[in-house]
Amino acid sequence: MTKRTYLFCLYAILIGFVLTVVTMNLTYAKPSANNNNDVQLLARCVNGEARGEPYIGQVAVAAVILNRTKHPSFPNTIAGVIYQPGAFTAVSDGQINVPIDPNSQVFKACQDAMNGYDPTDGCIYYYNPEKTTNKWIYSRQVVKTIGKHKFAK
Amino acid sequence: MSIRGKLLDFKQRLSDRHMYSVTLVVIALIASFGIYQYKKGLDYRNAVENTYRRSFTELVNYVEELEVTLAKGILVRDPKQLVHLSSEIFRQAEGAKTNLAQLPISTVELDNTSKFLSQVGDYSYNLSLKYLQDKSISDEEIKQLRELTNYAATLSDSLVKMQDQLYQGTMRFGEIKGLGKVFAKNEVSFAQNISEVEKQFQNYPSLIYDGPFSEHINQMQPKFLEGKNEISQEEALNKAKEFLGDAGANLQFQGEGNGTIQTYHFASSSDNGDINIDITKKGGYVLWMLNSRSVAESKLSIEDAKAKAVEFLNNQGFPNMKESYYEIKSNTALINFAYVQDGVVMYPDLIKVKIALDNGDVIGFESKGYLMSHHERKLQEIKISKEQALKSINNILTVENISLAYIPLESKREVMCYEIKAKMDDKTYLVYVNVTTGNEEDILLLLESPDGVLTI
Repeated sequence: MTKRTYLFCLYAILIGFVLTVVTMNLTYAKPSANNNNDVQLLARCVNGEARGEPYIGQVAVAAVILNRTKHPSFPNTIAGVIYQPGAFTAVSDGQINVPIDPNSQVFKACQDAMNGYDPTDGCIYYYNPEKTTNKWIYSRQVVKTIGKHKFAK
Repeated sequence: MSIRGKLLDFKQRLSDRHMYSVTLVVIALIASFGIYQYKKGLDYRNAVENTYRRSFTELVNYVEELEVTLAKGILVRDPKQLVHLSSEIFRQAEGAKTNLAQLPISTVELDNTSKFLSQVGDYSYNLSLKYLQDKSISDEEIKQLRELTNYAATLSDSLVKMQDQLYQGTMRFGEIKGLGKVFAKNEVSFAQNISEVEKQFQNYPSLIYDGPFSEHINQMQPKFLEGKNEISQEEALNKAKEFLGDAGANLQFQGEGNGTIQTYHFASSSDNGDINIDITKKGGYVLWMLNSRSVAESKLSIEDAKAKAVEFLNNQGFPNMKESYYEIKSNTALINFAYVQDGVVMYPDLIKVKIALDNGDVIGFESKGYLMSHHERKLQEIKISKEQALKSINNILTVENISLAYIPLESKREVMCYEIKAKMDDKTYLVYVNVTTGNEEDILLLLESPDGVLTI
């Protein structure tokens, strides 16, 4: 190889390396102090899953998580449902570790869900038809559409 | 100078200053960084694989134990022994279910298996209670228990086979994200194995019994709405506007809800927040309403808020509601109301009202409990007198009050009880004694604080 090609390879590797380090740090939020409060955990998950959704959409996502705890096919605790491997993308990619301010909208939405508000009337699944790649979910009966999400039983 | 010229010049200067060794060192650094990252990745993957293996091994152990305990349970007739065995079944099924949920499989493949584990503990506990109360168990129930035992045996066999594959190295759990690459041709993924197990559960029976995970809970219909007429979308919109008053001016139709209770969903947005409201198709009742505006300060007391809520309920056609528990958070008061019939409080007929403490507006409303359960009840026969009920509770408690109430059990079945409010040390308890059988149906702890009165 000529000297020119050597240099070219070297610069390519350096740029690639820098880009990798930068993107790695952006994708994974560093875990911070964990709050044992159930609402905080719920809010972190809902924030990761339904950040841009209207208020009622966030209440609905929180309600789905709570409905799962009462359903025989899912774990009986909020932590069990949230941390079930593969259940929520916000958990798989670490977005759940962003702390939520108790004065924020998503926190209030979770409190309302824990107080029994269920806009979905008992749903245990939801999906974004524009983003989901899971074909099985389309076989579930859709109860309602709120924002970008369809809620199903 | 052109780019090419500049590069050539740089290259010339590099070789003049013997920079080859420097570039080689840099490449070596990058390569060692890469190797380090790869090794760390391997370590992480091992750690994850180990936690999966631990959960899987615990699952296999619990299911094997469950199979044995169930097999014993079919034969036992002594109620005390059955109660002991059923609490073992409960524990083992719970352990199996928790560990199953920690494995990397999607919920599709887990559905019936998980349901089986939830119901088996529940169901056998239920049967043991029947034995304790000297009620007979039907042949049908024995048959179902036998079937459950067979399922446990099938599950146990399949899991043991999978465990063998794991130890021989022909099965892997897959990568951390998503189900992973198969490293050798004869390797089978864990997900495939579990879906084979799930297939054996396809004819899993619908279990209906007196417990929280019974099938009948998902199939319950709203009692209050039976026989009411269906209304159109326009009529529903009018009902919504009537309910909200001025706040309901800009409501738009959002869609229909096809759950247990069919509804029309309306919403409006403003700078202050969104308002969402669901009106039932049958009868045009408000299932729930939520106004997300923030409340900046508290000007009203909780007594004022309660009065406002009662007034509101009376105006909306919900008379005879008595307040039970409340909670104050962020300048709003969430108050629970229960229907009262002939002096008996009907806790299943629940309506929750949220009052903003700045101006007394109703900013939240939830009536699913009421719509599902409310009906004129023929009161249960009272066979136990008040004195007998008081005698049956633990006499280290100081009784403050005794009244009558209907309470829902975990299986949603209702029973009429004496509600005995009593204190011990500084804790307040609510003990519920069945008016017909004298059994203690439930005990709740009453928590009173400036922020509310709650029960747990």
